[in-house]
Amino acid sequence: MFLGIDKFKERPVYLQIRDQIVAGIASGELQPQDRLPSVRTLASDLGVNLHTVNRAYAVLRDEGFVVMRGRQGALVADVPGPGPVAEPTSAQARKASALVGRLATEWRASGGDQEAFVRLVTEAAQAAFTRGGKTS
Amino acid sequence: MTLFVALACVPVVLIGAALAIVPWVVPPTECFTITIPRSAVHAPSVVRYRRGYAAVMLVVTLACVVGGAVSLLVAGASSLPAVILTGPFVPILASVALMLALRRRVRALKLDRGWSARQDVRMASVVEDAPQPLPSWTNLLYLPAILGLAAFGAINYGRFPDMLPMHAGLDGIVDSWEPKSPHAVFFPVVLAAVTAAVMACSSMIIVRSRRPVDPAAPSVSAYAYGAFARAESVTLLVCGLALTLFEGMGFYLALLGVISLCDAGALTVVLAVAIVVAQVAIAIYYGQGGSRLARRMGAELGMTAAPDMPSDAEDARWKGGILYWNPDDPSVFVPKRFGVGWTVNLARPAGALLIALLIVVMLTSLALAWSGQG
Repeated sequence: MFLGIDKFKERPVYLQIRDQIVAGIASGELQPQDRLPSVRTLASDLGVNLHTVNRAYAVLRDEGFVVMRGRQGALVADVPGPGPVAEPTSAQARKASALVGRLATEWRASGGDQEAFVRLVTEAAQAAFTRGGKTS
Repeated sequence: MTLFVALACVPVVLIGAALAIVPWVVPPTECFTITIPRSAVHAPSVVRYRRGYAAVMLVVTLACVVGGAVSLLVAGASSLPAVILTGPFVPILASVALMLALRRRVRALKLDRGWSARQDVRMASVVEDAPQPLPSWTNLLYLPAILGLAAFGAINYGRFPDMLPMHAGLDGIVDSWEPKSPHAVFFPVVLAAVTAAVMACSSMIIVRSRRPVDPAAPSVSAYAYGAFARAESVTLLVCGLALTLFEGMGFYLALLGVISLCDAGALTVVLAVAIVVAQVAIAIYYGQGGSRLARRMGAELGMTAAPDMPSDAEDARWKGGILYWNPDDPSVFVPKRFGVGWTVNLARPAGALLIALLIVVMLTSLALAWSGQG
């Protein structure tokens, strides 16, 4: 799996790193217990400051996507195995709800209607949940 | 005399030829250290600059060979050390001067044509599945080589003559002696240890270097770079072990009368030439950072690269195309822009320290060599 950043983009580099690792986990390219590159290695390969990668890993750790294991470095966190899908934690549900709410507000402010918004969200969810062969 | 001329010419020819092909072994979008669009790689001006550089390098190399041969014919064998020591530097200086001049022209062309990157994309491999350089622990193999050499010297200490031949002219006649002592007998072991340390450091540089990935072809470029790094580290280990062993062993065999001191010296020269030939072969097959291998793999896969203009944010960090200065880059070692191999990020304290150390080691070695001549 490759991770790319674009310094010309508005989104901060550490969030670009975070987004792609989350996408890698969602698509199955990154499996539980996979070791991520060390902070120094990833910073060196991307040509960015060590603190940028540190920040990205800190965000991923706080969000529960990776665990820090001392000398082993950052590992992809375990996720619930096959079987009945576990309910997301209430914190995750609140976060997702707030994010969708903000998007809906912005969509409405730009003149969009509810039907079109729901259609867009449904298509995006379908794409996210079928990418990489992982289906739910 | 023919042997002397050949000895003087071979390093100059090898170095000159290796420098002449540099524009074709670096990534094609790096033209004399300036990033250009992929669509401009075969532009008439760019092709003309590359061919002009190679032609001038070949002329300079030929002039050095002729000059060295004339010096030897006029001044005799006594001028050989000076010819061997100074000859290779002329093509190197010419290469740097030409590169700087053409770099200015490419930069002007880029400005004139409006070539500029609209993005600064960097990529890194998160899951390792490309070839890797030899791990650092393989440098421990130097230990048994050094210990073996020391043991050989210790076991045969009593058999060595009381006066040790330290230097012979190219006519084979020994012209410098030293009384047998632990210092004199085990000096080759110290030299072998220094050689091994330098080789081990070079190997670690390859392991610790930034690993470039081309966003237009990440899998191919990562694989090609990994293969290149592995080839370099394997060659380094093999050549390093050969130098460590045979340099010292040659001296001990000469002390035992198995071979002459001249033959021992010739063995070292043959080894050095073999190392340069191996490096040139890697450059031609893999290209700098695996660029030539990546191009062949991309062509086989029918890949079309996009975007046209790679990121050129790094151009300004390469001072004079040779010295890399980037305080925002945590990498201490990065692949060279002009040439094959790696260089240091001078903005990192560790990089600057290493360069300073290297200069001290080189000057010390030169001083020892000259004092040996005296």
